[in-house]
Amino acid sequence: MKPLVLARRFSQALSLLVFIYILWSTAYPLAGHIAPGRFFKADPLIMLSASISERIVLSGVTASLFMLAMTAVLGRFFCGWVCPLGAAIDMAGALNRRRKSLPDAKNSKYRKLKYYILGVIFLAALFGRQVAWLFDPIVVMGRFVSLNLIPSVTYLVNSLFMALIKYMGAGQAVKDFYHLLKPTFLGVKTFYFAHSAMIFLFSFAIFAGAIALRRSWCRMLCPLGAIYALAGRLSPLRRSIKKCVDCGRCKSFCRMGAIRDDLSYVQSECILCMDCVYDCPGHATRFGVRLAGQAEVEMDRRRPKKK
Amino acid sequence: MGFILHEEGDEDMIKGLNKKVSRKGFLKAFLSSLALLSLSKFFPEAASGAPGGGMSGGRMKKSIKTDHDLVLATGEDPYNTTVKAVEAIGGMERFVKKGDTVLVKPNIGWDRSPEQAGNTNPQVVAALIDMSFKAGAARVNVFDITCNDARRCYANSGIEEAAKAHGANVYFPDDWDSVKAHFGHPSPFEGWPVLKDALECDTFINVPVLKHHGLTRLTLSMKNLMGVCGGNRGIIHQGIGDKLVDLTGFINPDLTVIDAHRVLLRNGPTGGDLDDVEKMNKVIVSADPLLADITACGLVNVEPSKVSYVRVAMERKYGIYDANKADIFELKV
Repeated sequence: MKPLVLARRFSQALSLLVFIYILWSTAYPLAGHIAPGRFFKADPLIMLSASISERIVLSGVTASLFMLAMTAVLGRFFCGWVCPLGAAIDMAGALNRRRKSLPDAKNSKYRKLKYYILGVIFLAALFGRQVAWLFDPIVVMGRFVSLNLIPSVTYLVNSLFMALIKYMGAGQAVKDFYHLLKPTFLGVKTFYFAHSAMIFLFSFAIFAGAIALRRSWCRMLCPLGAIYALAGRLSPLRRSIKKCVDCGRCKSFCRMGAIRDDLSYVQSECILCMDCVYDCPGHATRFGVRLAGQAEVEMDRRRPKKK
Repeated sequence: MGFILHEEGDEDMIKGLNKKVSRKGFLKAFLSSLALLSLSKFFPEAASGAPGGGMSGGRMKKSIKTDHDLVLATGEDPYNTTVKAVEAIGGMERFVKKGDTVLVKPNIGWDRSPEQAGNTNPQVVAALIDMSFKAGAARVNVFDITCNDARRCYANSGIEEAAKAHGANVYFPDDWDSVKAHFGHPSPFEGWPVLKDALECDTFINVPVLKHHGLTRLTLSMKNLMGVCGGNRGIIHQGIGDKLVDLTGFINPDLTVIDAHRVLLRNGPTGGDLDDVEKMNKVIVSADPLLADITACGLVNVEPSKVSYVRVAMERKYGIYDANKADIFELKV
């Protein structure tokens, strides 16, 4: 039993489903019960960069400031527990059971990239250009879900019924059921969007990257992740290991590459996925309030070092 | 030697059969079969050997005896006027038999309210549904391939709500579920896709609204049949006269009911301005589409020969082409 991991997965699944529902319900008669702007208002990258580039204080910016404050208290919980793109990336990453871990030097080089991207976005915003849409994970996922995922699911279900009705001679009951689905679940028309191939390739690259190296997008490129990483540094909720046997499992399994060779972790990279709590053979890893000065890893002195 | 009961590999086969289907394997099989199914769309010709998708000669013309060639009813209430008009022509029992599947095909083409008169009046549609069920219909379908967004048209025309309330099956038809029209003579409309559901009904009731149309001058019953056609319908308007007459002969509507309760006189077919709408309180009922259309022209003082498809139908002597010789019964409700 891994209750914390189960809780995270539940939270991710819920967030992803709500995200898809919001986009799915942006069709006539617009009966969606959740305001489509919700995810964006809680997105400090979009709200701050747009506020700067447009030289106004966007209404609802407080929601994103609240998220930043929460991150300063809890750490990057958004990335691990809420982000719908992160949830999809975790699903893609799970397809590859072999986990790869990189040496410290590579990890620290890669993780810097996202700060440059964040810097370019805010620099552009200062000059009145809004470019966050290109790399913001909520926008990326919004594009993928509304322009790729929903139309292809609709297309596949439509094709299934077309095959059943037109070529296999399914009866009136199947037809009636299909006609019931059309105005409710499927939509009356299948939409084809311009540039959907480009958008698919972009998303595909992210998911393929996650299969090759878990959460590679989140580690290296995500500018929203970079903002949360900056805020997450302040969190007093930190990882500590009592009686570490130096087995190195946590490092080799960490999906963010946040654990160093000496098994201490880079707090700003930790998305609180809670994997290392359960990967630790002696159940020695804990997350709790720990001040910045206190030691993170206490070695078990009774055991000799492996290496 | 005897029979060989066991061959090498049998054991393996049995093992394979007993093997549990893994989740991954199931997903793979499921997704690939879905992909195959969706690809089948690109090979419709290959697949159309099966029922459907092929050519069709259309609906047979029924010879239904009516008390009059046409009934022109005037009345304040569209529902009652329609009921009385159909009764006057001989009653719905002449057209609908017990157990029939009836198609009531209104004009739901536009995202317009009933007041704007861009679509058939929902009360006229409701009256026809009620009468069909009374005459013994097992099922009444109501649909149209719309011009504006389908859901908005169905909702804002008031037809979806009214027809459902009166027990009809209102649905959005599938333009892929069609056949190719085949005529016994050369036609510019040869091979055009027509909805299967429009042909497979026992009774076809065509219920257009009379209104102005920028290209064809008037929208009448023959024009309303475009609503069961698939394909890129815009190009039907090129040489529309012959095409619509051929289409009418292909569908052979059993009963034509033209709603002229509120009539859009200008800026059709879309309309929108209530100043363009005149309340005429009329309903035309006839078993002959051409006679109904000629009579409707008279209501709005348009020379029938000025409406291309009516002119072509008259030239081709399609049905009752001479309104002067017809038995037209006028009725006040």
